[in-house]
Formats: sequence, structure tokens, C-alpha cells
Amino acid sequence: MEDMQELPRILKRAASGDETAFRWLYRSYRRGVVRLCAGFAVLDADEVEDVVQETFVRAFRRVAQLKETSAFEPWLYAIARNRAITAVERKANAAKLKGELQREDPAPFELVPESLKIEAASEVVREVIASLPDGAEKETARQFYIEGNLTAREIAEKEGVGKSAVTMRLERFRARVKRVLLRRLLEARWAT
Amino acid sequence: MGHLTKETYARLLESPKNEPELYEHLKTGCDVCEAFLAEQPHALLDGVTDAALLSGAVAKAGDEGRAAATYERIRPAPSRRWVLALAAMVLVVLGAALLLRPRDDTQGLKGGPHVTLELQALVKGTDDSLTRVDPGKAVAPAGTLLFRYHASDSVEATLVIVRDGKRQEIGTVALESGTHDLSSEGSLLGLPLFGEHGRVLVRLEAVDSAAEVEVNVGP
Repeated sequence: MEDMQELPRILKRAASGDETAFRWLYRSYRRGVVRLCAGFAVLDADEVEDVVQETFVRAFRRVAQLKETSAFEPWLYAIARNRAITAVERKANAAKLKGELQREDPAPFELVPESLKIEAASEVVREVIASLPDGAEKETARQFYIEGNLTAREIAEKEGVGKSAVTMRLERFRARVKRVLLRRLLEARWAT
Repeated sequence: MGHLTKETYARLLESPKNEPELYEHLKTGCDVCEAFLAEQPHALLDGVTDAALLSGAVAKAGDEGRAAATYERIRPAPSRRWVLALAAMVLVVLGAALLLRPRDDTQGLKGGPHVTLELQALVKGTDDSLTRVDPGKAVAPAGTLLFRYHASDSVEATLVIVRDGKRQEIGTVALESGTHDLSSEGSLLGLPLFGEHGRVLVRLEAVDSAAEVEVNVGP
């Protein structure tokens, strides 16, 4: 990961169309976007690459609207998740539907509460993993999110289970993290 | 006290004080509420959740080639305002450098007798400064490498970048007679230096002539 202290300056330069700033953002965040897509086991490597491409094109197009530096990463991932889900749905419905399924891109976020900023939120992931009983979900979450070497497809092959089973485990784990972060979001709102 | 539903979730998001029991309930794990949350898009919450989950993401070995190829497809063109400003600056700096100095036809010149080509490079720094690239001198891996050529006649040329002995043909550019900034379809052509390292050779190859400039990118 590049030096994130540079991010405010880089975003400012990207907003004015500086290509070197776009390259910096791409290099810094590509791995996260690729990893997010790799959690959807149904997508193959080329389809993941298409989602990565679409995500950055859309983000670069609207980066000038971003008002808060810390909102960039979650906003980028929100775009990527939408694109990945659209790709999965398209694939599932390819035989049935001719039309394009589309999801709206989220507008750049204006405010991210302190308790939801990356440093604080990433600790939640380790806490949730630690709280899980030993079993398939814990092991899959550990392999995918902590070790981070294998894609969901590769985990399925390694364990000899279906791709959808691994995706479901990862989605279940993600929902646990989302519940804890929802609670933090609500805490911030309760206080106001 | 129940579980999350579309209605209670909406009220909760509006203010947790609307659903105090449910707010307390979310302190602990609940399969029903988590299954509901998994299906409910919420851009900020989804983005923050993924940012937390992916904070330790590492690049997969061997991803560099694919990453570079994708970036070449999505690379945004410089904004028009930026290009115009840059073009003006390049014109001032290199106009003086190229047009006023005595011409030495043995430098940076290759090829046959019909068309002569010259190629020069300069670095536009991250602070917008412009620095001419002197032969053999290292440039920092920041900013953008820009080019200016001199052609004795109008000719089409292929722009080639050679790194570690590997040729990469960038595309064809139409060169005009005279001294000009290297551009395509009205936009300056530049090579971002971020991520580059070592010797980078940039060549313009026409049918019977070629010109090249070598840049040593290093700290």
C-alpha cells in the first residue's frame, strides 16, 4: 500500500485530471477491489478484471465530487460491490435476460463517522473472527480475509466444496461484520 | 422485541431512539438480523464493511501484467484545461531550448536520408515544474515525461517504449514538419514516471528514420 498520508493531495490532483494521481489511486486500491471481486466465486479471472476496470472508470469519473478523503476507499468498494453483484446477476440471468441489469453507483459519501474509519473498523474483523466457534465459516473467513492468498474459487477447490458454499460462508461472515459496524453507525447517530 | 425488517430498519437508521430495543438487540449476534442485513444494500455501511474486511488485502503474485494492461485501458486522458496549460508551458520551455540553440544534426538522429527526426524529453514534476532531461542524468520516479520532436517532413511514426530490452509499441502518431510537442488527437502524450525504474528508452520509428531518447529513472 502506498503512503496514505499522500491521499488528500492525490485526490485533489485526481479531481483536476492529473493522470499520475489516477495511476497512484489505481495502484493503491486495485488489490482491494480485486480481492472484493475474488469473494464472488462464480466470477472467473477475466470477469473480475472487467469489474475492476468498470469500477475504476466510474470512480475516476466522479472523484471530483468527493468531499472527504476518508470516504474514498469505502465509496470505491461500494461501487465495486455493485459492479460485482451486477456481473454475478448478469451471468446468472444471461440465458433468460437480454437486457442489461444495472445498479446505480453510490454518490460519493460526505461523512464517515470516526468509529467507522478504516483503522477502527478493521479491528472489528479480527474480533468477529475470534468470536466465531471453530468450523468452516471461521476457517474460510480466516483464509480469505486474514491470510488473503486464495480466491473463493481456490478455497472451494482446495476444500472440495461447491463455489456457492464458499461464497455463502464469506457473505455470512461479512454480514456479522456489517452488523457490528451498523451498531457503530447507530451509536454515532444516537449521540447526535 | 423483534428482528430487523424493512420497516424497523428504516426507523432505526433514521434514529436509533425510534427502536431502542432493536438497537440493544444488535449488540449481540443474531442469524435472522444478519441474514436480513446481508440482503439490504446500504452504500456507506457496505463500503465501510468492505474497507474493513479488505484492509489487509495483498496483491496476488503475478498480477502486475494484468494490472498494467487494465490500467492502459482505463487511463483517463488529461483534462483539456490541464493539457492546454501544459502545452503552453512546454512551448515556452522547449521552444527556447530547441529553436534557439544551434542545430547539431548528429545528436539524437538516426535513419536514412529522407526524413530526419529528433526527440527530446522533459519532466513535468508533481509541482508542475518542467525540467529538461539531460543524457545520462537520473530522473525521479514522479511526474510525467513529455516529449518534443523535430521532423524534417510530415511522416507517420510508431511510438515505442523499451524497458529491460522489451519493446512495447504504444501506437502510431502523425508527425508534422517542424518542431512540435508529441501529441495525439489534440492531447499531449506523456509517460507517467510513477512506478517506472531503471532505463527507459522511448523511440519514434518512421519508415526510414528513427529517433530515441533514453531516460534513467531512479531515486
